[in-house]
Amino acid sequence: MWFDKVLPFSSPTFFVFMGIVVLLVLISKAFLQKIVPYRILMGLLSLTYIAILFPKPFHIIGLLVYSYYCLLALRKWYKSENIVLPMVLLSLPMLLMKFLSNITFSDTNWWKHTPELFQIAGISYLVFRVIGLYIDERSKPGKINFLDFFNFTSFVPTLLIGPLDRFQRFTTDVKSGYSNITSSLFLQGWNNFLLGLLYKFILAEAIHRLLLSQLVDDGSILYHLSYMYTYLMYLFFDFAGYSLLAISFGNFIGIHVPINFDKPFAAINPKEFWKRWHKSLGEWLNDYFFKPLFKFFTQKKYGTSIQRQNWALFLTFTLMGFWNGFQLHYIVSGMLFGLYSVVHNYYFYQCKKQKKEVFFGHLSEKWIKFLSIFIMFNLVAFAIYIFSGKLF
Amino acid sequence: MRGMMKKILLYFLLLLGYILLYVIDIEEIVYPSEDTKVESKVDFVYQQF
Repeated sequence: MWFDKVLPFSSPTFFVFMGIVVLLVLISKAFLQKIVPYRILMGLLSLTYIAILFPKPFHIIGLLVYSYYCLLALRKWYKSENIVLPMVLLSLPMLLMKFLSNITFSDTNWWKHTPELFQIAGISYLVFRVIGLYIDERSKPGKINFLDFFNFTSFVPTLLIGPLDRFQRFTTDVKSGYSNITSSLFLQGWNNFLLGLLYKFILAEAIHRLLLSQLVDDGSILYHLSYMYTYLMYLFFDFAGYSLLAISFGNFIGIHVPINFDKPFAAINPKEFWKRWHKSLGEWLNDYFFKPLFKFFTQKKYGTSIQRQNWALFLTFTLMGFWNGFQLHYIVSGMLFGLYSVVHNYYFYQCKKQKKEVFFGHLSEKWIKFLSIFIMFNLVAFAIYIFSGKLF
Repeated sequence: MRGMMKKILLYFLLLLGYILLYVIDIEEIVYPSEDTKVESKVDFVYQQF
């Protein structure tokens, strides 16, 4: 191949590629609007990235074709109550990838290379986007042509790790096309771009090189505590920086990519935390898993309302754990976040029932807020520490 | 005015960080006794398949 394969935002080559993309879109807006429709240009640019820079281009094209035809075939299930089979079929490649990654094949085994077939960068996010599209379409069936589907699922800045967008919102932006590209959105993109660079390539890099990598594992509690807080900061700046870069390139070419982080460490409870940290995933889980699950429990009249809520919450976060990977540390981390949510939900229920602050008593609002932020921050740090896989 | 200050700080931190991390080797100054150099972590910690 002529080019080294690069994942989004992982090398200068990618930034050069995206620079060319932005330039081409701006030139097309200025001179070629009537000749090159925006949605076709977007499709061509995504296809170019996949063909020349994306690792395993044929694999991802295969995955996209499978997902698209699966969506079309599943249309007859729109009126059915059964949503499990369509979800399993749509997420089958991801499930196989996660499952096969945990199996050790012997060298003589003829299918030892099977896991590699499904190890496609971005597969988890792609599958979640497709499931979201399927569930939205169930309530409002419409025509989905392959170009719109391709543009949505393979939008380069968000291809790898989001933010998770919605098909209707994204397609509306694409339909608005060149008219969405304005100087104010471009400027907003530039600010996001600079902040993303600072977060990912300066702060996360500095934390990793100067702090995280220098910690000496002597097995002491102090080491584990240092690792816990340093890793949390590193993860935040790395992931929030990536998200900002993805948002910025969307802004440059007229797409309003949803924000993913909004001062997460100012959250006062788990519910608020997931509206601030990996926001697009939190909203996705709420809309496409928690709500349907709660509705299902309500229809079946399982337990009381608070019990139904708690079970739906716990299962939703457990699913998130499995989605991160089938390794124990991901699953336990997801369950821990589920437990936090259940405890908070029950606490909130009790406060409402007793018409008072059960835990904080008569403390002033300012103190309650301060203590809530402190507790939440430490709980998050612990769950993310488990997520890091450092402990087991 | 506040917005302008924020922007100046942002550009300053970017420039300073770039010089410290990518031009001069800050690790050699901070940890002079280290034998091995920590590899750049321009990668995704949250990356998954």
